[in-house]
Amino acid sequence: MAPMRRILTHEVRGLFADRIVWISAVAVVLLSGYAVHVGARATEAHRGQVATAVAEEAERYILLRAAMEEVHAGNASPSAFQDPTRPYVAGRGRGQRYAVLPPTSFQASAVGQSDLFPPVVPVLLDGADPRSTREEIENPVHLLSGPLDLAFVVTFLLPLLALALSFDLLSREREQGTLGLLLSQPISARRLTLAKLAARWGLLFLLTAGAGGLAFVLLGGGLTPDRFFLWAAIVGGYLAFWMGLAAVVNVTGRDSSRNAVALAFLWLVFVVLIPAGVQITAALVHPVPSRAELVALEREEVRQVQEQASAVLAQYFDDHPELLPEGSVDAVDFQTRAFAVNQEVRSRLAPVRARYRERLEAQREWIQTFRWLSPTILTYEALVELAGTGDGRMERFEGEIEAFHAEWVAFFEPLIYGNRRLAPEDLDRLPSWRFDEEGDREVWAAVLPGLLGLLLFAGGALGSALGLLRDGGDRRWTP
Amino acid sequence: MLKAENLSKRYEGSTALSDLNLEVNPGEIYCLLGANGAGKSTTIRLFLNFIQPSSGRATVDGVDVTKAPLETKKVLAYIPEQVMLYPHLSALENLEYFAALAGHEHYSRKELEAFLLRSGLQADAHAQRVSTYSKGMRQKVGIAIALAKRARALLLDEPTSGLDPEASNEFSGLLQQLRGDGVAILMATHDLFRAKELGSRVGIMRRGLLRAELDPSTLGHADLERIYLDHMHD
Repeated sequence: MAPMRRILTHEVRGLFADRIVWISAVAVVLLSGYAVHVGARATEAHRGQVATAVAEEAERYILLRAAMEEVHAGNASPSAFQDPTRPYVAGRGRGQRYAVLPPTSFQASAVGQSDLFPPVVPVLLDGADPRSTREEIENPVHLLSGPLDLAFVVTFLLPLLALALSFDLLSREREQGTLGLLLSQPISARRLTLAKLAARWGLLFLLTAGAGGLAFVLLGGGLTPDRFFLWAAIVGGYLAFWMGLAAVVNVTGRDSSRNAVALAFLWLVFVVLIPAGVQITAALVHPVPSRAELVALEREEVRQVQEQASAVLAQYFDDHPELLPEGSVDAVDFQTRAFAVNQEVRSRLAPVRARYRERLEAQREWIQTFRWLSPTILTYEALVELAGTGDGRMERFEGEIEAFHAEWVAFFEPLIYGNRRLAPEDLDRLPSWRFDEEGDREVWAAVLPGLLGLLLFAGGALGSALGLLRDGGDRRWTP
Repeated sequence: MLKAENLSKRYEGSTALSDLNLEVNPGEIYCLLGANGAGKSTTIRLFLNFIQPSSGRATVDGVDVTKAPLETKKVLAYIPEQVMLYPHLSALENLEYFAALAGHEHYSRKELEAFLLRSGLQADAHAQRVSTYSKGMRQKVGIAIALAKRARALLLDEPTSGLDPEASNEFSGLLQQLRGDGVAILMATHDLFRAKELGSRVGIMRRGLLRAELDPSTLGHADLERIYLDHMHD
């Protein structure tokens, strides 16, 4: 094994004699630093939004409690639309809760979906739709318009550096005339290639992991060791894929400039064309109905339900006779009526919303299926899931919002129909939001399949290169 | 030590080497003469296992080079027409690297310097980057690499082309020393004069065929040239 180590040190020395390593080092350090800074700023903004909402809610509850106490003490008699003891008023505006998504400890590594998905969603009786501020689905493959965060640096730019270091892996030896002397030594071509790859991989990996880690410690609010370990594993696997690809191209025996062109083309295919293709086909095969259509439909439903408001209410009290107040349905006040209309509209729109969500889900599944076509998609998805800004955690947030909204409505429904009033101490019984955060196991489960796929890609590239280097048969790359 | 048995190399539509039989024993210098494309380099590349024979076999010390190339490459040293080295390293560092690859990691600096001196490279050049070297100086480092490898067989592909007469003469002296040490040397060359002077035997090749095998000690310089030209023009 001595020659292997010897080749490795020789290669590292050769790389350092070359400008390219210094340029790469500077590029990696500057880009990582800037990218983590961008990520940290986005995370800070996110944290700020959450903190503001939480503070606003707490303050509002203090005021609400005071107002309720006033009404109870008989010191104030606000109108029905202002009366905080009325459940319809408390449940819609003054007592409204925020569903908030706290940033993760590793969020500075990838902005991902977090800049598209509001981290603070008001939960009212009327609804809680986190997508209300989103025009269309933005999927993670939509990289080009993304911010320059660390995930972008890793998926887009790192391959270019990996290729800059390895595009002339064997062709340079042939062109500078050393390949003959080298291969006349008792060292197999496979070992030579492996050692050369190991030197370049090791150098760039240490550089990237070091710069990334340092940037986190200095700018990103510290390192979470197990997440950083996974991050480094993803980066290492991705680098290995690109360098394996460079080895494959080198073994086909073209000169350095043709290798460079071939590898640039492969970069374009894997980093740009396949991800864009997957995204475009997802939108073509599973088109999402336009937001405007949904809004128009909603208005139409509201109009229809309002026309039939009495019938809607009568139906409700047929089902819940115990809640029927004194008198007739006609005597039910405006707020009860409005609530009933609202609930009816929601339930009528439910299939439309479900279809909308199904389409988004289908698009996401499409991308999940075809992500195996490009290590770039695998890497990006793994990185955003690791950062907690991917679709996985966002869907979890959405699901929890929905559940919380249902709990909220269920709490108020009997109070509104029963025409009850709230006492200040009822505020303590109101459902309150708590995000059930992903556990480590869920993060690993979200990241590992992609990481394994990445390692398969890397293994495939390396395996092909080494397979093509096997003894027997003339090889085009020999001197 | 070096043996070709019915060694042939055919490419699609052309024959680079046809049924070559030759043997180089320890302490012999076998010179292969012939025009470009005669099959001299093909022969050397076959011995190095850079290309695979279409039929026949090449053996080094009785071992088929296609069966155990790493074994045979321990015994072989190769000096190409242009010895190219790592330009960012000195002669000493280049030598040290190639010696380590050949399995000799144990050489001290003194020993390495001794190889370079024996090859005729002046001491003040040892630590210079080889990017400043002339072809002759690089050829000397190539010899030093072969010496350090303790090779028992040497393959040379037109090693003296482009050297000035003095360097060429110096080079011949080194080869004679190696022959004295019992190294088997196979040298492809255009240089009839060197072949006559150095060769234990001379083979004349044309279009992949070994046309004649001569003992130069029985011939004058003029005879060798005449025979060579006869073979080229028939």
